[in-house]
Amino acid sequence: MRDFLPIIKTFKKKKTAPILLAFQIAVTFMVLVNAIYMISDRNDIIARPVGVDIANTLSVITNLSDEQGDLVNQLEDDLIALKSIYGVVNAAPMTALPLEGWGSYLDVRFDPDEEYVASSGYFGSNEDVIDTLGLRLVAGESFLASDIQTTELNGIHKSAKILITKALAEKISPDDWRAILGKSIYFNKEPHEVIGVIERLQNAWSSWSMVEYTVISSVRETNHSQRYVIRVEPGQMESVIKTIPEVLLTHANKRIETIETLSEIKKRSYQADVANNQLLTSVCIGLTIITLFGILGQAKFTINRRIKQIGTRRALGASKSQVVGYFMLENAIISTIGVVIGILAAIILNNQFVELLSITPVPVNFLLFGAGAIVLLGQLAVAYPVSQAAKVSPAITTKG
Amino acid sequence: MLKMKSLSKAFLTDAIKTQALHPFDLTIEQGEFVSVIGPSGSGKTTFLNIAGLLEEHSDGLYELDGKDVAQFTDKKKSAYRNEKIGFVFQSFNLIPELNLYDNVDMPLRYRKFNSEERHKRIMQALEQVGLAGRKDHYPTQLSGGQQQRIAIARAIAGTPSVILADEPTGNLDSKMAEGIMSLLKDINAAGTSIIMVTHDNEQAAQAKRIVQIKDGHLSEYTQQKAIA
Ligand SMILES: Nc1ncnc2c1ncn2[C@@H]1O[C@H](COP(=O)(O)OP(=O)(O)OP(=O)(O)O)[C@@H](O)[C@H]1O
Ligand SMILES: [Mg+2]
Repeated sequence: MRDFLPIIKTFKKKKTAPILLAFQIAVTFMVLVNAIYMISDRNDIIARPVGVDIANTLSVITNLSDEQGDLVNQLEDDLIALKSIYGVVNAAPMTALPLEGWGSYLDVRFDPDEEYVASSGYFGSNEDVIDTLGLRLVAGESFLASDIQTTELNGIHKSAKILITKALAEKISPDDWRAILGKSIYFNKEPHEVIGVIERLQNAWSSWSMVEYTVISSVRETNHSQRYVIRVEPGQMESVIKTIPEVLLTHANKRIETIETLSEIKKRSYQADVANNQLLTSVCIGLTIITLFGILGQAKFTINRRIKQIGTRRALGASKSQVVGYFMLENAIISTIGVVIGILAAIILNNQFVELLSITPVPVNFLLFGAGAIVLLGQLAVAYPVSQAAKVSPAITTKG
Repeated sequence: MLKMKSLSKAFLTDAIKTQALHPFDLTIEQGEFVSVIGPSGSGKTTFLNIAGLLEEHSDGLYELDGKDVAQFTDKKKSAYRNEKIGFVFQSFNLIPELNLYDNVDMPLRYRKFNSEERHKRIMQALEQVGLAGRKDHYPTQLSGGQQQRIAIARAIAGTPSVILADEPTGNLDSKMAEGIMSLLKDINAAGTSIIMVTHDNEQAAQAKRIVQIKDGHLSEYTQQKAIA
């Protein structure tokens, strides 16, 4: 390459500015790559399917009151009322809601006296749960109405038939997840027969590493603060939400605590993550802009300093496009040195951090992609000052 | 080799027109040594810039080797400057970050020479100006006369057909100027045309031909020739 060696030689003579710029690019590169990786990692987590048709599912929390007599009757009345609303597909009671951040969890054992093999979130519901949440049964069977038990509190302590998620089945029966069907697992010392496996259902805690491990037990609870899930026909959400108070608030003691779509619950669950991502994104944009201006400023400065030299090169035979090529290459070399330093530092730091903080290291393809992007950005940033350099007239060589 | 017909140059700045060169005819043949003299501001540099394709003329015809330069693209002009024309400037215009060897190499890198060929040409040019031993030095480590010798080496390394020099000794004392002049004469003797702008009449007289410019009017200066 014509200009490569001479450029390297001029760096040797004038080190400070290119080194500073390369260093700035290295730091920008490291921060950007890590931040963007964190953002994309988090976005992947947020994008994981809940397992529920969240756009068409909502939850209602209402009270069952002792003044109104038998709680079970009230529960059944509520469900009949909810199912009667135009646009409702199905409705079921639930002890807690996916991603709500509130509920019960359990430790799975094959023998009540042995160590537990997994932890899992817990939901108690009835035979309508699969249809209401829009779950997909991948093995076994759903609950029958006759399987359902009722309790006022702590359904988790009752021996009952259960459905589990496939993720949990694979965890506790790694060789053949289907083999778990018909077996009993123990939690809270009680045996629970696994009668079905569902494809996917996230439990109450989005930030828990075991969010995909979920048990649905065939025990409905009649709580004073009672949760229902309701699935509606597409497009009916608004009108159903409007109608719910009309059908539920049938007496003075009845209150509705919240009506919320599962989309909203999911959004709330990831609020902090989304906010962090937004903050990181702003930092990335800010840093990118600062670096672009840094590159632009440096290019302007070195070009202004070398106007006479550019004229000389032009006079001695460099065409306009060769002048452009010279400065573009100079910038590309500095950027490349910067990202190489950045990649080396990232690899070294990653090795330290991964052990220290047990975070996942930034994958190599990410580093390479980031490196390419930074070099390209640098080229964009110098495009304007370099186009000015090309306009320097060779005639300036004979002036003064 | 170089043919100008009714050539003129006007500068337009802020709607003020400066007629730097009035229409003139001039032909220079291969191998000539031409001095250009005239008072300050008369248009000498402008003439040289046009001759060297550093600047465009406004009107008239300029042919180099039989080709109308008005038709040249920037790329073509650049290549022409690079291959056919050697420049020697009053202020040397060496690149301070490059050593002498690399300075001479700079224009050669735009040619299709391989590195052996370039090396041969650089060393030959440096020998010719008597500075081969200092090839690893940087321009700031040289005297003005030595810097101008390097600039001459840079100009001749590409074996141009003409060297354009704008007051090549303007920044040098008389002893150094003499050295530069004899160097240019040697180069001319070997067949390279030289067009040199100078303020020094004695220096000008060393050329076989003198062109005078006064207020943008260019004329052949024959009296001097007759006296000499
Ligand atoms: N780029 C320009 N724009 C406007 N006017 C110019 C430009 N270059 C030169 N001139 C004008 O053209 C005229 C000739 O200038 P030129 O530099 O050719 O003179 P010169 O004979 O080389 O002078 P000197 O001996 O001082 O170097 C001057 O009046 C000058 O002001
Ligand atoms: Mg001049």
